[in-house]
Amino acid sequence: MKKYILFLLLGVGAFAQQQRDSVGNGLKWNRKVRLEYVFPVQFGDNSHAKSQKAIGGLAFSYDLLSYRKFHFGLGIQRLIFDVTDGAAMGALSNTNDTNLYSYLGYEFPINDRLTLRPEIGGGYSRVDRDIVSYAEAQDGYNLRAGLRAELRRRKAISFNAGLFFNYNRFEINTVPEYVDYFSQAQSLQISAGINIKLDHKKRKHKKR
Amino acid sequence: MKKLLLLAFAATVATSCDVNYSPETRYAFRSHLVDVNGNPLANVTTEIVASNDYDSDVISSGKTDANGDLLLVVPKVENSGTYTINYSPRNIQFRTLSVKNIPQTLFEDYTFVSNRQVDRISETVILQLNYQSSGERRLDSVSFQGLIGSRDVDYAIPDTNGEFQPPYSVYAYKNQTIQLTYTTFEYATQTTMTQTVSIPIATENLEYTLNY
Repeated sequence: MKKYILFLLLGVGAFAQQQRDSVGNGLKWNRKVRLEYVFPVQFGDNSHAKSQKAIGGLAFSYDLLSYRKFHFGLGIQRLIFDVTDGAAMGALSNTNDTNLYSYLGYEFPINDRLTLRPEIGGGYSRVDRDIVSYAEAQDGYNLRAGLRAELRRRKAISFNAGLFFNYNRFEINTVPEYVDYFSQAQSLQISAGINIKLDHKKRKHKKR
Repeated sequence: MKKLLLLAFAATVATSCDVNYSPETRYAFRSHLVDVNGNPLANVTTEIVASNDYDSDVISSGKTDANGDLLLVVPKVENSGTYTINYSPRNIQFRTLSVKNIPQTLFEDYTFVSNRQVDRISETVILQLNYQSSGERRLDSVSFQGLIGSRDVDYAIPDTNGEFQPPYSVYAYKNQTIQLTYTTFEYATQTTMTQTVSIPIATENLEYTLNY
């Protein structure tokens, strides 16, 4: 089921790539992608904060639709953690979190170059472990909210930096006192990266 | 092309024997280790091995704390796989100990409790047991009273055709007399009888033959 959702989301992205023009009533298809390095600062009494150490990871997101200053998009991030407590986590060297999410952002232009963008979002999460023979992953969901600053350097390229609160909840069956420890994770995600507006030149050409 | 397909098939078969896990379920192993006097044993290296019919993985390890306690949390092994706990005291005076083939049916509230006594090698001897039947009775049970050392526990069900399998060796503490209580069933009279024999233990390994 989760794989179908992934295919569906990717399909929507592919469809949106083919669209360039307004879809009416101020609603527009976007073609803006974002690639970021993400470092999660984990906190709380849970396995991510107490039994693992974040290395960081990459995030890729895609602004699909915009309506006035609202933006809707899809994102995926993969974060790597070193296991520091084998007694709680098992004989692993690292774990990988994958967050697949949709988001809604609102643009506050500060000046010609700088834009602040608060965002909220959420979606599917999973934790993969590095034992070679692992067949299953731990599934769950994520909720995120934060602020992103985007600094435009060229017409098609801008840089971004963000600070997001990310909450994960994972499915778990275990001893009662460890349910919360293994089922949730909280982090402040610090991110920095680049935005590329893919359809910039084509739109410019059309205006002429 | 055929070789490639053959290789892919072989790889698939080979990897299908791996131990697989379901990390959405996690079991806790709680151990408490003491010596024969009840003193907690610290720094005992403990490892959990997960196994299926084809393969096994060391999936967790740790050391007991100053109170002799250790909690290890591991993912559920799929397809009725089992677990083994291996205790290896850092102090070589102590004997290693294992609890083997623990089935998942023995977990209560996702927890398996293993409270074990670990013996100093120098304080115990090996009591070798032989069983000599007259042919008129069958042996139905054997138990010991006295300072008996810990033995490995194996939860794998041996194929004994329903017959009782008595212990053939036990660790016994030196300089004591242990009581061996056994139950027999007499074929002719169809009666069950329980008897006890005393076995003096000195400072050397010994062999004892139980005639019934």
